[in-house]
Amino acid sequence: MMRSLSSRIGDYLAGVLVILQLVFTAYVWTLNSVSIPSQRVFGLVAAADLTAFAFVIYIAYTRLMNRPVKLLWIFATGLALAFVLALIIWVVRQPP
Amino acid sequence: MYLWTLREARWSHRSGEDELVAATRKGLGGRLIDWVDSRIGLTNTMLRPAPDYSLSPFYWLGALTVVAFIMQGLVGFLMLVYYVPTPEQAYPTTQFIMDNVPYGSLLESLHLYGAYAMILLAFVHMMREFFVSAYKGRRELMWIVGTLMGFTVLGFGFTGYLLPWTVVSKSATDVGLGMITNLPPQIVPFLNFLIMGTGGDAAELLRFFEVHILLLPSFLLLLLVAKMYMFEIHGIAEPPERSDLNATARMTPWFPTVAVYMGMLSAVFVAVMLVVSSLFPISLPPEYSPTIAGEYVAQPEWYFLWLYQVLKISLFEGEGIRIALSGIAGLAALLVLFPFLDQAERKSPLHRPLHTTIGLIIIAELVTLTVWGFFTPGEVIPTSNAVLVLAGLILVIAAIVLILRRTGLFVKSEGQDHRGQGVLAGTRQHPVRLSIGLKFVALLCFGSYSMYVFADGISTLWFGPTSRLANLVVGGVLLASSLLAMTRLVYIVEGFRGNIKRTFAIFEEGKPA
Repeated sequence: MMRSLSSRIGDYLAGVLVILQLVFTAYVWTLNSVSIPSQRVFGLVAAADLTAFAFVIYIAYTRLMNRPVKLLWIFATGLALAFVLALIIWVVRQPP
Repeated sequence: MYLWTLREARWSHRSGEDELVAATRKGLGGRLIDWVDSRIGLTNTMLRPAPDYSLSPFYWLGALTVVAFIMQGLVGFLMLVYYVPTPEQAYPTTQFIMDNVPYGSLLESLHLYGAYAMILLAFVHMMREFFVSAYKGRRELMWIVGTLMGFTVLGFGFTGYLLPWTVVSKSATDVGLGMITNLPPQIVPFLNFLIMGTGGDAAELLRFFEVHILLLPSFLLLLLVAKMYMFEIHGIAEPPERSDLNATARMTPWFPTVAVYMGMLSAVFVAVMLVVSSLFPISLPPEYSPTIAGEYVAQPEWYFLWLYQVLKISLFEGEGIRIALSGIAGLAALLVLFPFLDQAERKSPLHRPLHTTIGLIIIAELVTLTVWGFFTPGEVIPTSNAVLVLAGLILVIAAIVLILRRTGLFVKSEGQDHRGQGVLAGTRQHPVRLSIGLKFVALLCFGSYSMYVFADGISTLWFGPTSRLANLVVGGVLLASSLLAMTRLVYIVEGFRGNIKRTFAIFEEGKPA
């Protein structure tokens, strides 16, 4: 059955947001291993990551969990947790 | 996935055993979930479904407060890695976290703003429950536990404020602790030992630290479990005047729908906290030492400013502080026991002008005292000024509610507005009437403020700057004039709308004109 345009846009939007999350998470993990980004940059990137996560699960919420979106939000949750893990790891390591 | 299908089948009541069996999957993942489920009973979790109408942030303010508590716990744990609770080390380690630990400043800011958000959310949650009388319908104990949780949250604020050992936090805490000596002598030694330990700075800081990270979280968790348990029994309180809604509303399964919804709200909340903490990082005041403490005016955090402002009223100086503390304790007790005092059957704030007025007065007084306290640090407040402001505020709020009532916002009885005209119970009145009411409120506020400024200027000019009584009299007269003028305006508007003519016709002839 052909899905509606808004339904397909919702799926694409969720995909784009998860990719954004992936970029943010990779940015923090790779940059942290070289040099610590400024607190402001980290805080804003983390906020953007969480906002993207909130939108992804909102889309999942409004689309009654069809299978691709369900996988997408599991992936998004993993990325959000990875971001929190980055914060924990970089905080508890031995400071300079 | 199997679980979701299974739970959806159960909650929607659309099937029997056949559908449940059909939902079973036989893959490796399905068997693994079956194995786990047969041991911990995920599909039979006690968390109940929520009605559809409750998927709105206003119904989850308490849950958001819990999210803030969890965030505070996680961030606090990270800070504990470096913090040392001794008078010699508390400040240097806090400074070390801010200056040297990666994202340490962000964590400190997040912890402070998280505390603010937690207190604010708890207060907004409480006032919302108050206005919609959510404690009715056998939920009195939930209200009592909730208010105790609110006091515990304030306890977090009080104990946590001392921990950085800055001159500001130590001075303010000392002022707070000084109030203990004014309590009944039978409990003073016990409270002193409970809060300050065996005496001295080291014992005091350690005791605050223990209470902050151990005693209060344990107590809050116990209360949370009790409240969650009662929540599972009674469910979400229905909207006012719709007590039958839960029986007919479509129920949404807790998992995944409500869980996903809460996850979304939580993510947005933490994101907002991160943005605020990143853009407005906190700075640490100087370290406490008795020599520089005298240079600073002790000023508590904003959530205790209202109390501080009350205690600064000249009436409560010296022995009078006991009267103030007794009064505040009495009001707190009234708040906790409020469900037993409120015997009205109606729940909607639109049906209960007096109840709504009390709630509005509580908010207005707290906000006014807080703002006033912020702008007058260390100043003693003359009793006449306090009476003028606090009593004047009650009059203004009462007048606003009266005017709103006249404009038809409030519903007088079941199915009728204040003129006896038919309205749908539990619904708002015509938006035009509300807009008229709001215009009058704005006019009234502006008029009252202008009157106050004018009264202050006139009385200072005539009687000199110290004549507070003259201020009080002139201000009162002008305020009353302002109220009368506004009421007259309402009368004129009502006259134009034909309502007064209709009322007279009913009075004189027994039938509408």
